[in-house]
Amino acid sequence: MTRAANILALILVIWLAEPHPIRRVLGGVRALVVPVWIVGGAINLAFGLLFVAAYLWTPLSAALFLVPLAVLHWSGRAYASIRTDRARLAGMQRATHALGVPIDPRDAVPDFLAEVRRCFESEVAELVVVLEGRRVVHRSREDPPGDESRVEEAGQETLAGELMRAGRPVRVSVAGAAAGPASARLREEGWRDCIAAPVRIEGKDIGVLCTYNRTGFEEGELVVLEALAAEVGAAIEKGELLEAILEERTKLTEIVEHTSDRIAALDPDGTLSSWNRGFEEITGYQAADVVGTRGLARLRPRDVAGREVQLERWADDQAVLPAVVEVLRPNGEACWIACSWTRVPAADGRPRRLILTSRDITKELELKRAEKTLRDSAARFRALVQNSSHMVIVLDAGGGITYASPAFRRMLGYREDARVGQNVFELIHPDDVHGVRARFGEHLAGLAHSAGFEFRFLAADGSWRHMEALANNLLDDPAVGGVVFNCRDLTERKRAEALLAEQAYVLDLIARDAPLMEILNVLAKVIESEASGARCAVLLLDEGRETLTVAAAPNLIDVGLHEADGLVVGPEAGASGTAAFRREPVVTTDVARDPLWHESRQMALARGIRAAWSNPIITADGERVLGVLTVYFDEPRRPSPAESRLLELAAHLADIAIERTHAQAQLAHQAAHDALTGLPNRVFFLDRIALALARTQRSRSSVAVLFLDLDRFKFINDSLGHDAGDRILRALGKRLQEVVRPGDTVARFGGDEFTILCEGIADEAHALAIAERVGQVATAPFSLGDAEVFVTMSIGIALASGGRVRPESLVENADAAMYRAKARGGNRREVFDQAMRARAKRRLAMHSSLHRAVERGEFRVL
Amino acid sequence: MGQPAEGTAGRAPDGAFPALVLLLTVLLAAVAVAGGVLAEHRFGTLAVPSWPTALLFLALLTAAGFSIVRFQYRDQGDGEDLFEAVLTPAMFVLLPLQVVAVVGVALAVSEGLQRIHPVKACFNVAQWMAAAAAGSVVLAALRDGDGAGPTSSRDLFALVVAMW
Repeated sequence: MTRAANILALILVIWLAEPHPIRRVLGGVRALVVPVWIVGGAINLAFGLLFVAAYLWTPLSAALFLVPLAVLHWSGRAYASIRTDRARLAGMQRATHALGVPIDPRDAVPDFLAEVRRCFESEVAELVVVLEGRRVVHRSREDPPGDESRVEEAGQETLAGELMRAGRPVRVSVAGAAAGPASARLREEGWRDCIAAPVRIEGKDIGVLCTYNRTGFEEGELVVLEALAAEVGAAIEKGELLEAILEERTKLTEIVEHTSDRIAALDPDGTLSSWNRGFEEITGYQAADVVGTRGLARLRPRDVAGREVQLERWADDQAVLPAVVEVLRPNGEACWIACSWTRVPAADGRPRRLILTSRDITKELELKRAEKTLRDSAARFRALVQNSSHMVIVLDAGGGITYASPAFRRMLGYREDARVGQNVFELIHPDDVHGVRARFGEHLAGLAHSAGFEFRFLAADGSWRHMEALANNLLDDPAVGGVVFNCRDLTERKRAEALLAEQAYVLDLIARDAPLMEILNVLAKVIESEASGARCAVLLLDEGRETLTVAAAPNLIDVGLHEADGLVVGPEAGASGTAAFRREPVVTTDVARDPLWHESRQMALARGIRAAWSNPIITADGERVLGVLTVYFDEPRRPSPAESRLLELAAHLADIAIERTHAQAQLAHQAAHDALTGLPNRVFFLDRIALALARTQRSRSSVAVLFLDLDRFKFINDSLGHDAGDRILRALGKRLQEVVRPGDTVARFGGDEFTILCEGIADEAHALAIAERVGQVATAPFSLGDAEVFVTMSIGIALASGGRVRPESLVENADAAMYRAKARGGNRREVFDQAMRARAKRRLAMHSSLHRAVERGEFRVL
Repeated sequence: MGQPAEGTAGRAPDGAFPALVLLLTVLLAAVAVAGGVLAEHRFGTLAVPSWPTALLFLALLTAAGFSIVRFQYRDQGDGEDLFEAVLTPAMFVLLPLQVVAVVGVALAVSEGLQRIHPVKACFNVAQWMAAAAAGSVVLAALRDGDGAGPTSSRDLFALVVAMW
């Protein structure tokens, strides 16, 4: 009855405490109580009857009643503990197994918690994980059966939060002696007991695993729970790793599928195992077409040299994989791809996979070819501009220089870009700037014409350079944005033209037989005009070739050139003397330091001469030095190549002028003198007679002409030869020159005839006295080697005065007188008179008549 | 019988116990007292045991409240206290009112030591007092004579029935 009353009371209280139908209550009680009621009742009754018997035997035995109860209690407890441990172990295995079933262990958390709950025979098992500031709570309940999960704010004060803060496995009970915040929270949430263990990943607490509501959680169970917490922590970590791996895999898959690069993979035997969409797009082959084939054979890969690429043997150590491959599309079109080959080794180091990453560079190659063509073209044009002798400058609308080609620097001597930014009109000669502005304005206004225009441009050294420019308005061209001046340097041409003109002028002077001094003066001025700051002198070597004489020095006479440069020819005689001595150009860049000037340095410096360049004037045959051409400067200076050439040219021109003058003089001499004796000839003599006769009008004196003829000279020629005759004639000419007065003229008239013109003759006696003296010169014998020859002369004398007398008449008269002397036996002196002329005329007339009579046969022998 | 504390398995009520539970507790206590009085005055009397005997059983019952036999039933573990094992001789030796009183005091002490919720503890005390009273009534009704004579098999049978 006791047990029945208890059951009844229990049913009643359950029914009263919980609003459930009585049937359900009875069902629950039956399931719970009946087995226990029977077993427990049997045990209690057995022990109860045993105790009653013992008490009846002796009441003192009651004191020992607790002994069997204690034994039963502790043995049962031990047995239960073992069973529980086994059950826990099995439960832990089941829980752990549950985590291992799905691929992602986190999916097994509900099953895991259910096993945990069963393992600890608790009502609730709960896993709380803190993720990104929120607590995710997974719960498995016994009543009502099921799983739930929810999200809590991490800062929310919950039991899970308290348990997490503990950071170690804990056992909490509302009835525990050590009631703390967790215990209070446990009570607040309506639980009795719980155990909890932190869930860690890599030593960091990320959550807590706990189970609630079973009276009497034991300390040892904490170890089990801690192990389960470690398992679930590892599972979460594994899940996260798996998720990360899957995400990476997804990412990689997406990258491979959506990348613009083309990715393929080949097995060690060259079999294509992967072929992404990119490859499909560029090659036209679908993955189904080529995956499984070997070595991309269908695409016929070839390298840039046209060799077939052997991808079947890519795993060979010696295999060389080309960086650029040509493949063929299904339609036969070629496609160029840039390849990056990655050999992926297996764990044992052997090749496992070949990853081919490539890009379609067909268009890129075409573009590169076009770019290269463009680049080459641009480089060519740049090189043309940069290396062109023409200067290219670009001007803005205001004339400011925005670009200047390298020729700008080369031509004008400016540093690179030194004038960029400056207005170009500031650099143009003031006389030309107006015209250039006008042309520039025309180009700006679109009225341009293609003809070039000339102007002078300021160089870095301050000189003006002659330029010819072609302008082109490219202001609208964004690549240029300015007016382009393409300039050609005409300076040298202008200078050459000027030099040619001056040279032509000098040659013209020479051709026109201008005086040598005038020619040399012009030449000196030409040099001075071409070489800035130059003062030029032409010095001629005298007959003795020891001194120099200034022939032309238009700007140096006043500064005492003679003393400055010295007139002596020698090895250290200034620039001029040394050049004449050495027969080569001498350049003194600084008089103050040149040893050639040690004798005349002070004098030269006192006259402001600091540099001197001297070129010898040498005959064309190179035999003789005629003089020197020297240029002086008032500052140390070295000649430029152009200036050196100018001096050479000037020296050559001077040589021409001097030699021509000498030649003319020689020709003139030869025309007026006898070649054998060197005496004036008939023409020259007649000219001298005319001059002398003209002078007699002022002096009121007479002139006398002595006509000399050697007696029997034919005999000498016939007997001793003409050479001996010539030697006698030369010797006689010298003797005659020695015996006549200064101013008298001795001439050879022809053959053995000589004439002498004597001026200032007072009368016949005076003339006869001269003739007598002249006649004496022949009395001395002429030496012809071993022989001596004696000759005599017949001299005819004719006197005249006044300008109206013909020179020829005077000579004829002297000739007539000479015939008279010959007629009278020779070696005589006869003065002409009119009877001589008459006789001569008669004789001539008779001679002519006889000649005609012979021709006509008028002679008769009587 | 199941453990008193687990007799109301499940979450503890969030608020106070329903008034009906308290009323049932009081009712059970009243039934216990009434049953004890009835058994003692109507169905005969026993020799009054000595107080040391009563105290001995009080101690034994208190200790028996802590003694639990754990066993596994199918896949579920369970436990059974051995309170009735001591209650059986107590009910056979002590007077009904003594039994009710001793059971009440022993359970109160035991529940108190186990920190059982007071309402539950009161219910458990009242429940066991009522059960002890019911058992005493049955025992008194079925045992041979007034119990003063030698123990017979009928007495033992009556005890088995009273306990069950």
